Formats: sequence, C-alpha cells, structure tokens
Amino acid sequence: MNAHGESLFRKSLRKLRRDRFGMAGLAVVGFFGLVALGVKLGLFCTLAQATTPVGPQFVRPGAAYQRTLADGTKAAARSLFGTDIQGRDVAVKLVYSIKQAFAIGVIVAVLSVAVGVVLGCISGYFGGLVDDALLWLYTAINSVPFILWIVSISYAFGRGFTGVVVALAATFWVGVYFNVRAEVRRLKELEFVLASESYGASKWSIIFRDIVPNLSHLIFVFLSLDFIAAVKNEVILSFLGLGIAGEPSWGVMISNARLDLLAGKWWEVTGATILLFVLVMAFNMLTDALQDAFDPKKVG
Amino acid sequence: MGKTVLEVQNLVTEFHVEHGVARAVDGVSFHLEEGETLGLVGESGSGKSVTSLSLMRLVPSPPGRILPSSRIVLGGRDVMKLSEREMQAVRGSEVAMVFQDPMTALNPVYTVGNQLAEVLLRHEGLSREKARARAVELLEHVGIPAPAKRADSYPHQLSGGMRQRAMIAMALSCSPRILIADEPTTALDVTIQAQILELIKKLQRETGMAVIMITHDLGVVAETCDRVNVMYCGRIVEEAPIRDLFAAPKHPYTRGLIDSIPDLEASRGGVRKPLFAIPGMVPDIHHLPAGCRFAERCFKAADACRSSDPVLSDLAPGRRAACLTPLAAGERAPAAAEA
Repeated sequence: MNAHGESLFRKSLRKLRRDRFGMAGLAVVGFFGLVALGVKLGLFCTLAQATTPVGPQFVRPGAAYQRTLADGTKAAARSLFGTDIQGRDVAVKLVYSIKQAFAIGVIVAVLSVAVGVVLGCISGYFGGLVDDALLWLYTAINSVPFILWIVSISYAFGRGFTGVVVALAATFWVGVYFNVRAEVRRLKELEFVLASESYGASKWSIIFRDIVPNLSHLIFVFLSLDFIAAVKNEVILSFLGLGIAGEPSWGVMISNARLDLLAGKWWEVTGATILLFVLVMAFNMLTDALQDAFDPKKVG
Repeated sequence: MGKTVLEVQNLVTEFHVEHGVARAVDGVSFHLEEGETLGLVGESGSGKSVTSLSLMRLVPSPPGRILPSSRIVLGGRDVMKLSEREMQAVRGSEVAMVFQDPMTALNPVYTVGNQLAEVLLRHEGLSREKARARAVELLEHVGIPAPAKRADSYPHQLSGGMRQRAMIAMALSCSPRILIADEPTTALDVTIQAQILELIKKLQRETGMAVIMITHDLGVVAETCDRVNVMYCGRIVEEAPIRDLFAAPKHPYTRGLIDSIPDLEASRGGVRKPLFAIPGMVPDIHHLPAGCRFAERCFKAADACRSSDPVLSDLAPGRRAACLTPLAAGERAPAAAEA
C-alpha cells in the first residue's frame, strides 16, 4: 500500500522498522548511546570515579572487598567486574569508556562525512581543475595505508582526544568524498538538475537543494560506517600508545591490561573487548539495515 | 502574426571532444512570433535539443561552447551578452522548458507542490503560504484532480501523464513568453499524448505565449504547429508553414520524412505495402561531407550537390530550403512513389 504523500525517506524508515536485525542493532546502539549521554552529563561513572582507586589491586569479579567510598570511609562491598592494577573499578572504567567511544565515533563520523560530502559535491558537480586537484589529493591520501596516516597525524598532534579525532577525520573523509563524487556525477546528468537550471536555480542551490537530499542514503551509511571505523581505530591507536591519554578508554584498557592477562587477570581485557564487540556488531547490523532501507534502488 | 519574441541568427554550438570539435548546431537562424507554435523537427542527433538548450544558455560547458558570433535576441535583449546571474532571472520567467521524461525531470525527494512553490519563491518573491496556494491553483489549472491533495504527492506517486502535467504547471508558473517543449509526449502513452498536447494548446491560447515544439514525430507537428523548421545534421534544411510543408515539401529530406509515415490508406484491401525508409545513415558529425550533408542519401543528388554546400534560401514568402535542386510539387523518391 502506497500511503499518500509519503516521502521516500519515510518509506525507508518504515522498511527499516520491519528489519528485525536492524532494529535489534538500533536498540543496542540506542542503549549504549543513552549510557554515553548519562556519563557525559555526569549522572554516573564520572571521570573522577573512573580514575580513583576504590580498593586493593586485582580484586576478582564478584569477590568481596573493602571499598573506599568518596568520603574516604571504607565499606564492605561485592565487586562487579573487579579492579585493575591500581585498584580502580573496572566496571566504572568500562562504562566511562562508552562515552569515549561515542564521542570519538560521533565527532569523527560527522566531521568526515561533512567534509567528504561538501568536497565530493564540489568535485562532482563542477568538474574541471577543482575536480582534478581534489582527486589528486584523494589519490595521494589513498595510496598510503590509512593506519600509517592515522599514526603519523595523531603523533604530530600529540597524544590525546584531539589528536585521535583529527587523525581519523583527516583520513576517513576520502572514502565519503569518492563515493559522493561518483554519485553527484551521476545525479547531475539527470533531467531534474537540468530542469532546475532551466527554472533559473543557481549552482549552489542546485547542489544543496537538488543534489544533496538525493545523497541521503550515502550520508546515512557513511555516518554509521565511519562511526564504527572510528571506534575501532581509537582502540588500535590507544593500543599502540598513540590514542587517548590520561582517561580510560577501551583501547587504553586493553593496552594497559595485556600484561595482566598473562598473569591470569583476565577481566579488564575481556570487559573492554566484549563491549567493543557488542557495540561494533550492533552498529554493523544497523548499518546493513540502513543500507537496505535507504538504497534508492531498493525503495520502490 | 504578432511581434517577434525570439530571433536567432547564425547560432553555432560546438562540443570539444577527444577527437576534435563537433558542431552540434551549425549556423541555425530562425525567429519566433508571439503566440505561434514553431516545430523543430529532426532525427535524434540533428541538433534540435542542443538548439533549445543554447537558447537558454544551458549547454554544459565544458565541453560545450556557443560561439560568440551567435546572436540570440529574446524579447529585445541579447542573451549572449547577459551575465550568468541575469540569465538565471531569464530562465523560468521568460523562457521555460518542458522535458521529455517527467520521471527524471522531477526531483524524487520533494513533493510536487514544494517543487512548484520553489520556482515561485525564486522568481515571484511570494511568501511560503502564497506560493503554496498558487502551486495548488496551477496544478488545478493543468487539470490535475484533487490538486490540494496531489500537491503533497511525491513524483513517484503520480502517473506519467500527471507528472507531465505537473511539469507543465512548473514551466507555466512564472508565465513565460516562450515555452520550449522538448519531446513532451515521447515518454507517454498514446492516449495521454493527445491530452498533453491539447493542454499545451489550451494554455497557449489563454496566455498568448509562443511555443517551440521539439519532436521527431510529424504527427505531433501536424497536430500543434503553425510553422516548422526541419533540422538535419545541425542545420535547418527547410522552413515552411505547416500546410505547405505537408502539401509540398521542398527539401528531399523533408519529403523522405513525410513518406516514412506509415500510411493506412495505402495498404487498404489487405495488401500491406512495405514501409518507406530514407536510405543510408546520418553522416558522422566528425566527418561531414564537403557538399550537401544529405547528398549521400538523396534521390535527386547531382554532382554539384556533392561539391557545394547549399545555404538556406528563400523560395517563396515564409518558405526557405537549403537545397540546390528543390522539389517540385508532388515529386517523390522513386522508391517512395512505388511504396
């Protein structure tokens, strides 16, 4: 049934709602997102809580121990997910890291997609010298393995959140750029662009009012792909010692605890890995569903 | 007839491609008067669409280029001298275009009403509500039932005929002086074609706008046009009032086109005559012959036709042909006479 006045966008949403895996993915991602928001607003698992020791080192998950409370007094408690080498609560660190992952994922995805879409549109629509120059830049960046760029850029910016974000966004935009460029080159040949020109629309109005809305499927898919890639790459960078510093993140936790693993202290690495796995898996399911739902060739 | 609204002199549009320069339009001159319908007829590749795009300076550049020696005078203004900004004001408000395929000519992500309102906002400076109300009015005017409801439809929810009506409403939104209809019925069902042509005629009567009807379909020409320009290989080869063109074409190419129309009368009595086709093919635009471009396919071609290039010259008032050996009344290709 073709509901009257229903846009392709709403149709896609309806299709997405019917996709069970996609909706499961969305539920998990949504839950992680809410937790991240809670941490960001300081409702629970603040940075101070995540970096202050609460008990002896290496308390096993589920074990009873004397917990140091915020006011310095001690109380008997049962550990949720153990403590690390400095006696900090692993569960709190894990939850705090969800915020880290989301912050990096969202900022990198938005930045790289914004840059990629704008440059891709300019390149694809105007062609000529601008296109040649941007394409050259694309090829130059693409000809070196991404991880090398990421490592060198984040090294240049110094350890920390900003370095990671800049390094990831600076390399991720090229994938968006190339796909958007190709799609714009296809779209601009369609008659509705010519029709818009024939009704006196300016070039920028054609790009942003006629072409960009037709790129929504690419934008959605790249937002989620780049989010996943950013989360995973943050872990790799932190593992290599080039990522986040001074704050917990899954990458930092895995990196710090890899020696503990050999000593049989498995919980910190396991916790970070499982959360990373669940988030990435759920997001991948969501991306697949988005791809299916928003591909204009499949929405009919 | 009324005063001239469009004057085109020696229009040359070239495309710079890998192996040289292709002149898609090569020295085309014609004029258009208020309220009349001018047919631009020719096979695909004859330059009729490029001619119409050139009038609005919409030829993609690069690779396309309109030679500066071309003159396009629109309502007293030389289009070639306008800036791109001034040109944007002309497009849509003075000249508007209806395209062949209304499916691809409407943007799939906006409702029909929004697309219409957008043009009104740009050219007429109406407020959002007024533009919307006017859009609904326009949709009603082009015969779309339940226009207020249809304004909220997306293009994919309309039938081909409805889409073309919406397209026409868009073209008419700013009351242009000239409407260019580029194969407006080619993508439509036969039953819808007549309705759309009738709609264009009705609107033309009401507004007094001039129409350039681009088509390869002589049936459409016979139905709608007052005057016809026949194009071949980027040039106008014949110009004539509609009746004269069908009664006594002067150029052998025009004759061939007319003779290619299947004739039901001729095959009466159960005997089907073979269809007539002009022999040969349109020459490659990169390797045009020295003489007349139609000589290779012409049943009347003499030696002179292969060496000298005929120019469009007056044969009678309102009649021009580019032919060294124009046809006498009733003269046909031997093969067509047999068929």
